[in-house]
Amino acid sequence: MRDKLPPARELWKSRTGLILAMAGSAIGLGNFLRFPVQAAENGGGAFMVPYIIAFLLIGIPLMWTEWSIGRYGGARGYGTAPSIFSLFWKSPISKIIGVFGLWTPLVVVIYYMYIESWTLGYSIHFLLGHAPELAAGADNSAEFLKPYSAFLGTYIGSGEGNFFRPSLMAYSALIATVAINLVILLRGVSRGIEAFAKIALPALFIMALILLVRVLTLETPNGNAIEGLNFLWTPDLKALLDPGVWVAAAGQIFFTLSLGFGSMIVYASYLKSNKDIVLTGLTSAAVNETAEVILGGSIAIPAAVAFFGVAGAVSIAQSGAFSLGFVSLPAIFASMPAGQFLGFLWFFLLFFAGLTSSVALSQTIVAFFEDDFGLSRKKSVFITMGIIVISIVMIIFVNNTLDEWDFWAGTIGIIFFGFMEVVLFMWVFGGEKAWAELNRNGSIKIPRFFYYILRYVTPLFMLLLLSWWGVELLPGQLEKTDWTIWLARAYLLILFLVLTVLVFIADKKRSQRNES
Amino acid sequence: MNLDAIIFMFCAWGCTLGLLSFCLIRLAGTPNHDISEEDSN
Repeated sequence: MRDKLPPARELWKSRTGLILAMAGSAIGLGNFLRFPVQAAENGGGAFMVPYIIAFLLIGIPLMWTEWSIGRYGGARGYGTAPSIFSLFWKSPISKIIGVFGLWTPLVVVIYYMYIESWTLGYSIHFLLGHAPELAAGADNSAEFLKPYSAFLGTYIGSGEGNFFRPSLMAYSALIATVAINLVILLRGVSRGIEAFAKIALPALFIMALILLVRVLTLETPNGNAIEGLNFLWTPDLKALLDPGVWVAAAGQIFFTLSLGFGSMIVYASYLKSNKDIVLTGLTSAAVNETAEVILGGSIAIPAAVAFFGVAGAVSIAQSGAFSLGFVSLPAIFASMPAGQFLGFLWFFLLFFAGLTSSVALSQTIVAFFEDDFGLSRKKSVFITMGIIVISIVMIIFVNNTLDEWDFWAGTIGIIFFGFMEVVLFMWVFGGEKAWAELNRNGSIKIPRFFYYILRYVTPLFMLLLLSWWGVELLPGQLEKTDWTIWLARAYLLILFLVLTVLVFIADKKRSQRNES
Repeated sequence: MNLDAIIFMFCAWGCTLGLLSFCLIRLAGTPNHDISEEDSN
């Protein structure tokens, strides 16, 4: 039965807008930075074999599950996981599991928004011509990149000790980033998020295409971009025997499609109950894959190979996605003709990619206050942004917090929540009921074998992923005992407890509203 | 570029663009572009 909830939830205005908003939520920094690094480190072209398999066995099924859960909840006036899960299973445990669907996006958006602000800060630096001078006469990549790694250090204020002292630009860009997120969220689902996605996604593709053309025509004494494509795509088939490569591919699929964050559920809840989710969801995933496999795979690594040769690019890839995005790429762009403009374009592209994702993550918490507490959009947005701004202090100033939060929320949290989503939907709600709900009013019919994939293969694959990470990563993580790590963990626990209490208060209030 | 790299790259690009094309063609053939109809905000 439908509860007494705030009148008329918002709805998406157009299918195109919904697809672009969903794709925007998925397309993030990971498409342009994480994917090429993962591919380069895990077998090159051979990485695509487990990647495509994971896309079919985890990505597509879980994406449809989240859309389905969201549309089902939205039709009953609910937008977030705790409330919708209790429709499947009337137990306090389902609510506690659902809290992960609030906690994970909240924790992730806190650090994500700060990183997103770096991209804005860097793009402004490039636009104003304030990018650092390149090291003249450097004879290796480390020397060449030194001014840019020093620049990043100064920007975020890293140095000795446990505290950061960010630059003025870091503060300014963060304030601007928070303000832009705030404005988009305040305007609402269709007038804010959807309208922005309709501008941001095409702009993002145009910027990426300009950079792609420039990179593919690069030629230096060290190499060219085609050698970069050759390096990235040459398959190392032996890598397929390494379980770590399969786990990396499955992890990348999770990150790239924004699965397990709970934000897709919320976006899908703004869809009318009689509208298609099968084709619409598949299209948004296809747009994301185009941005990742074609654009993301053809910019960063080929540019690095063209400038530093294969050996240099290998060491850059091994230094991680952050170093690639904030140290190597800006140095490469700065050394090209019109480098200031290209550097600006690169960081503004990343900023747009980050913005569409941070808005989606924040909307999850906004929807919780709106739907479950009956607060106005304005109040809900200000409360959400207030929590983010207060918590972001930890990320800005305290060393290790970002990595620790990324591990618990951005790595373990999303897999755990994704696993629970499939189990609750396909097993607790019921396999056939879930299948019928998923296919209801579908513009295309899902082949029946996906039913078995959803019911058996997807949860099993995710359980294996969770176990692997538990065995491989957890012991190393738990060995870290610095006080900053414990502070970061304590903050995460407090956030979880506060959200749990809020979920139960909201539930009580709703019961009272229904009785009165 | 060596042949293996070309094959793997074009297979990956082909799968991606093939999926996108399939979706766009099917979307073009379905009528409900305006998903919230008259009851939108």
